[in-house]
This record gives sequence, structure tokens and C-alpha cells, in this order.
Amino acid sequence: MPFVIVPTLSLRAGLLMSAFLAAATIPSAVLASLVGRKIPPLFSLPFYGAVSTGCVLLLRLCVSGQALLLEDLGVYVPLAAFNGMMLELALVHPRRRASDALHDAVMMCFGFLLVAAFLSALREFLGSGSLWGVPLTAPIRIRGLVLPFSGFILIGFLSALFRRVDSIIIGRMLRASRRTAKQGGDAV
Amino acid sequence: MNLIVSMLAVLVSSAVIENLLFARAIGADHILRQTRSYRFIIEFGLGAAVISGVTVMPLWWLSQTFGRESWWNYARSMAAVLLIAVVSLLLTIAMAAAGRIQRPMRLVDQGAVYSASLAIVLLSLTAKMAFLPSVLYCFGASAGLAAAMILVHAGRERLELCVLPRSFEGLPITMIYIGILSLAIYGLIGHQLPT
Repeated sequence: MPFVIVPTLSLRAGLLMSAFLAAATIPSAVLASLVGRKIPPLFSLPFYGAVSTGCVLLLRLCVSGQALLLEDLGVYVPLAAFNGMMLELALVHPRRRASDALHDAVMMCFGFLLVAAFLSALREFLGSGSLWGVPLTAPIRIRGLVLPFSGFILIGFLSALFRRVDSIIIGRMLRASRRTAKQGGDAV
Repeated sequence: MNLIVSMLAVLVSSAVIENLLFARAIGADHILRQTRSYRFIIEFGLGAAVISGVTVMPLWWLSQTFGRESWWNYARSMAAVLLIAVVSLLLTIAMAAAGRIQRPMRLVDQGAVYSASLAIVLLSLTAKMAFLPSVLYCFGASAGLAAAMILVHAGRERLELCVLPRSFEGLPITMIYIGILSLAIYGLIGHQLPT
């Protein structure tokens, strides 16, 4: 949650944060499915923490040219090693097969990427008046969008919107299936 | 007198002005998904305070020694993770030996304590303070985080009794509540919204 609220102030930062989360989550999830049962519970958190921190630092070394962006992400880069997706897939519910772990980790990271990209693009466009660092003319400027509290509020409204859309889709599917069942009953 | 005032300033700054939850959203996912009781929040805060307070001591010395080396930026995070793991394991063993553990903490809760401790330690080191303020920063930040979590948990309990649109129940309304609290604290400190 903190990774999508505070550091997503520009589209570049949002995408880089997603990459760090993927670097922390995917190897740990796959490793947990392969060797998870051999590690005692007392040592599992330090083990996966060290593995995911190593992967995050390796990625940080690869993108060390983006010094300003890394400075903006600050403490969230090392913290990405202990993100909720990694804890879920490596510790709480490790998958039995490596392919399942890989699939779930990639899909979770992709979901995060979508939300982070949307939110960071919105905040950069309306808050800073640019997109991917290119100055643009925004219809309105809401400079408060770059502050942390707006991240909380935006996520709250976005979450409510998705729930509403979800309930509408499920409601329509239920109505359609009832209609089909009724037509089938009439035909019989 | 000056020393006491500066120490108090560090404590207040870390607990209120740079509150981990309201200013940095650290601990937000845990408060939304895992928190069950006030007792748990206090244990969480105490755990983070002890682990980060002890971990920052050797790390502060290492930062003073190797701080100018370019590789230290990378090694610092790994050293912090490993030291937190050692301190946490020692704390667990000591508490088990003293008979203070009724049931072991869930892995997801341990992960949250690790994450909060890591954030506190790294922020304390990034601020480049002297030794004592660095340790005090850890205690202040942990206390501030626990206080913020109590505030949010109390708010959640009241929000659950309110009649809300179904889409806003649970996570969305809690996020908006934290956002409004964060905005209030942002204003209370004396910031002005950008114009």
C-alpha cells in the first residue's frame, strides 16, 4: 500500500517502483515454492527478506543512472523487499508449484503496475502539469495531488469505483444466468 | 537544558511531524488488513521500537565509518535487514526463555514489524543525526506509528457502525479517513497547500 500512495508522483517513478516490487516478489515467490518447506518458520522471514533485498539492490545497481528518480523513491526502494505481495506469496500462502508461484507473482505485479501507472500519470499530469517529464497543458492544476494525503484519498475513491464497477458486472452476469436458466426451464 | 530541548524536538518531530503512517503511509496495509486489537498495536509499536532502537546502534557506527564509500549505499540496506533479523531472533528467544510469549506472532505480523523497523532505521540513518538523537528518533517514530494506528483503528471501529454506500465500506472509507487525518496533521504542522 505505501508504495502506491507516496512515491507515485510521476509516471517514471510509478513504473520504477513497480519494477522494484516485481524484483522483490517474483524470485521470492518462486523460491518459496521450490525450497519453502525445507526452511524452518523461524528463519523463513530473514531468508526471504535477504533474498528479496538482494534482488532489489541488484536492480538498483542496474538503474543507478537514474539517480534523481532513485532519490525521489528514497526509503521505499529497500522497503520494497518487504512488500505485501512478497509476504503473501513467500510466507503466508506459498504456492506448491513453481509455475503457479510465477503466474501469481507476475499477475499481482502486473495488477500493481496498472494501478501505479494510472495513479502516477494522473498525479503527474494534474499535479505537476507534465507527463513522463514532458510539460503539458493540463485543463486544471491541482498541486495538492503530489502530497501524501491525496494518495490516500485517491486510492480510497479508486477502490470504491472499482468495487462499484465490479458489483455492476457481477449483477449483470447473475441476471443473465438467471434469464438463461428461466428460458431453459420454460423450454423444458 | 539545550540537550533536553533538542532531544524533545527529535522525539516530537519523529512522532508527529514525520509520522510514518500519515506522512509516509508506512504501516498502512497492515492497519487495513491485519490489526485486530489495541493490545496488538501496542505490541507492534513496542517490537518496532526495541528492534529499530537496538539495530540503529551498530548501523550508526558503521555509517560513520563507511558512510563516504559509494558501496555503503547498497550495503547499508542489506546490513539493516540482516541486523534486524538477528535482533528480532534474539528478542524472540529472550522472550520465549522468560516465558513471555503466549503464542508466536504470525509471519505476516512479523513481516510488518520488520518492514516498519527497517523504515525507521533507514530514515534515522538518512537524517545523519548524532548517536543519541538517532536512537531517540527510532523510539519516537515507533511511538508515533503506534499512536497513528490506534487512531485509525478507533476510527475504523466507529466507521463500521455507520451506514455507508456499499462501495465505500471497509478499505475505501478507511483510506479516505486516513487521508483526511493526514491532511489535518499536514495543516496542523503549519504547512500550506500549494497554490
